[in-house]
Parts: sequence; C-alpha cells; structure tokens
Amino acid sequence: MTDHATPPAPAATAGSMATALAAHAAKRQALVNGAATRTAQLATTMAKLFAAGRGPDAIAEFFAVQAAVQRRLFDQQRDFAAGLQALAAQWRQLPSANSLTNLMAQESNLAAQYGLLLSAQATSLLEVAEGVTVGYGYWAERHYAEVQATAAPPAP
Amino acid sequence: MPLTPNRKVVQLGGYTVQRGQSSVSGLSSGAFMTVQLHLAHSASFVGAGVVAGGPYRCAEAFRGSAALPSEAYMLNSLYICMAPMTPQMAPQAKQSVALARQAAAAGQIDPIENLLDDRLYIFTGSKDTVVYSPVVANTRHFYEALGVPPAQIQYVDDVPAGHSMITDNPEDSPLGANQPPYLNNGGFMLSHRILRHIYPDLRPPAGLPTGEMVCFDQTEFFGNLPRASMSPFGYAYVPRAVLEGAPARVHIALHGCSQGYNFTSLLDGRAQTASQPPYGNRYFMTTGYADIADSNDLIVLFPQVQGLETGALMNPDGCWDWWGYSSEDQNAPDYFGKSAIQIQAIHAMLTRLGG
Repeated sequence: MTDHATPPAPAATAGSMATALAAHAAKRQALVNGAATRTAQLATTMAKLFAAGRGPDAIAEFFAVQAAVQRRLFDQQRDFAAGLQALAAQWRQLPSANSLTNLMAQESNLAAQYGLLLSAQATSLLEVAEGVTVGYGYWAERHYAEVQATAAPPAP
Repeated sequence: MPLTPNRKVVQLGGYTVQRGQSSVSGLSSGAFMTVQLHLAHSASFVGAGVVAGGPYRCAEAFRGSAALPSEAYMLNSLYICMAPMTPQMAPQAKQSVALARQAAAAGQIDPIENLLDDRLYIFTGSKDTVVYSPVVANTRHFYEALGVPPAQIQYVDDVPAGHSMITDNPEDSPLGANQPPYLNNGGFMLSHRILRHIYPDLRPPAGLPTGEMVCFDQTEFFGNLPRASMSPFGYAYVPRAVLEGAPARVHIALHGCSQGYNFTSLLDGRAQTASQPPYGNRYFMTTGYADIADSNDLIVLFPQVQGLETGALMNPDGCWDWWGYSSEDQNAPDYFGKSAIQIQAIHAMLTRLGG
C-alpha cells in the first residue's frame, strides 16, 4: 500500500490543523505588531525632527504625502467604479443564458468577480496605508540622520 | 519562415564569442536584476539597458520597516523601490553608491572602475504606475554618481508608456497600459533602441531571423535548487552566421515578473493550472531582440525564472530576485553579488557561451 493511500489519523489531522491555525494567528499578530511598531517609530522620529527645527520640511512632506494618497484613492475609486460598471453590463446580459447550467455558471462567475473586486479594493487600501508608514519612515529616518550628522562635533 | 523555438532541449553550447563585450537588459524585475548583474560582473559587460528598474540594492534602503531583514526588504521593494508615495520617498542614489562601493571593497562584485566606459540606456514610461519614474531617475543618478559620464547614458522619460517592454506588435496592449503581459505596442521596438545605444555600430534588422532559438536545460546552472526559483529551460537565440563560426557578442535579456515561459497566474489564490496562459514565450519570441541580433551576430540569452510560493520561498509572481527571496540566510540576504544563486547561474550561462 502506498503512503498516499493511507488516510491520516483524525487526531493527527486535527493536531496539524490546530498548529497551522496557531501559526497563522501568530503571523498575523506579528505583522500587525510590526505595523504598530513602525508607526510608533515614525512618531518618535518626527518628534525629534520637529525638536531639531526641521518641522517645516516635515510639514511640507506631510502635505505632499496627503496629495499622493488622495491621487491613489481617486485612482482606486475610478478602477472600482469601472469594475462595478463591467459587472452591471454582464448582469444585464444574464437573460441571454440558454440553459439552466449556463445561467448558474454566469451567476457564479458574477458573484466570484464581485468578491475579487472587493478584495482587490481592500488590498489596495492596505497598500496605501503600508506605503505611507514605510515611505514616511524612510524619509524621516534619512532626514534625522542628516540632522545628527550636522550636529555632530568635528573630528579632532 | 517565422522564428520558432527549437523543440529539442539541448545543453547550452559554446561559440566564438568576444569576451568582455557582453551586455544585459531587462524590464521591471529583470531591470532591477540587470543593474545587479551589471555591477556584480562589470568586467564582462560593456553596457546595460534598464527599463523600469531602480538603483542597486534599493530594497535595503530602510532597515526600520520591519523586524526581520527579509520582511523589511520586501516592504521596501514595494513602497520605496517601486511605488514611493512622493519623489522624496524614492530610493536615494547615494545609498546605493555606498552599498556598491562597500560590495566592491569586499570582493562581492567586480571593481567599480569597469563601469566607467560602459554605455547605459535607461527608460521609464511617463504613464508607468508599477515602477514610478522618480525611482528610475535615481538609477540614472546612481550610475552618474559612480562616475559613468552622462554622455554615455541615454535617459528616456518622455514616452507616454505604461509599465512594459515596448514593441511594434499589433497584438500587444495599448502603449499606456499597465497590465500583464506588460508588452505594449508603441510602434517601435524598444529592444532595438537599447541595443543600438549599447553597440553604436549595429546594422538594422535585415528581415526575418534565420538563426536558431535554442531551448536549453537551465537546471545545471543552479544545481536544480528550488530556492533559485528558476525554470527548467532557458532560451538562446543564435544567428545563422554564428552557428557557422562567425565571431559573436552576447546580450542577456531578462524578462519581468510573470513573463517567464512557464509562469502560471493565480485565480482566487490558487494556481491556474487548468488553463495556463501561453504568453510566457512572448518575451523571447516577439520583443524584437532576435531580429536585430541576426544582422549583427549577437547571441541573445534569455534566462527564465518561475513563480513559486512555498513555506520557504515567496516568489508567486515569477520575478527575478532583487530583494533577497532566494537567499539561504533570510537574516542576511545575499541576492546582489557574485555568489547570489541567480547571478551565479546567469553568469555561468554567459561563460558557457564563451563570453
């Protein structure tokens, strides 16, 4: 008898499933913690930049980021609306289905496409949020390093 | 007779190749890899073509983006090296210069001085929303800061193109599109402009290619290790005259993400194995490299990378490694030097050809 023909014991399956679920939950928590840490570090670095008199630069960059976020959200909304319009056009064509099988296939396809559209929208929003914290963190760290380099006493 | 790949899989062979006269170009992840390969083995190359690619090791720009280096480099690649929120948040050329000099001093890459007489073609479409133009502009600044004279760099940013290798094929996407297969019809072959800049002495294409598109076994070049994420087969176009013994030069053309011959896209998160899209071979068959190679005795090598997503390897989109996924040690990713598994493999192919 080959290995793949031997069904795993139910207890073993439940055990490995529990392990996988725990690992999944731990990873999700680690990623959420990572995002929180990144945000906290950004706040600290920004406070240091303000304290070092680089507030105007930080505020100017803040407005540039806001403008970029608005552009990306606008693009996302445009793509989402175009996706909905395409689905509506397909919905209107459902009466042309010529069998029950065909009708059900088209309905399932529409439902799946709608789900994909929603998940793509959610992912895009998360991308913008991650992009802001990573990009802003990079910008702030670089500028704070410049402040430190300027403030460092000259080598003897 | 139109160009078709040779259906017989062979071992990559050697030809009469002028050593040190090779070049490399690529799109997107292939462009990021082009910069890495160019820096790592600059003694082998006389030039490079970068289409929508960022500066050397830009994925290492911000160590503070995550606790683990591999996760930080992944986030940086997405949000600093590809789609920074503002131009100020794009990877800085001086950081890449420092990392390049450090790698050269450590012997991880060839001496920087080899680059000074090289010719570079750097392209960014003004409608690219995948790798933003300020990133690519910093690739130009990176090479200039290393000492490459501006006269040797052709920088193009005024074509209203999306993220793509531009062709004159009517079947390809509209010029401004940012969508797979990332081949857009702009009414000209970008590959020809790249090669004409790198090798100013090139003759125009003389008609349909008469050489052979060789399909070879790639696995011997990376020990068939899964972490390389490379496909079983690679391709090389060998002009007729070179097959008959004429001296040749070698150009390496690196495809972008999802453009490898065996790339399989995901549908609802699962590999779409029931209807594998056949656009994989379009990069090496239809982007014009073979046409101009034929009339100039250029061998064009097309290494191939594949998408893999396992517990240990995260490359679902079939991209070349420019942020460290193929490294053995995820705490100290090595993807940028001569010992990086993909760079080793590609350079071994070049050496086998005779370059």
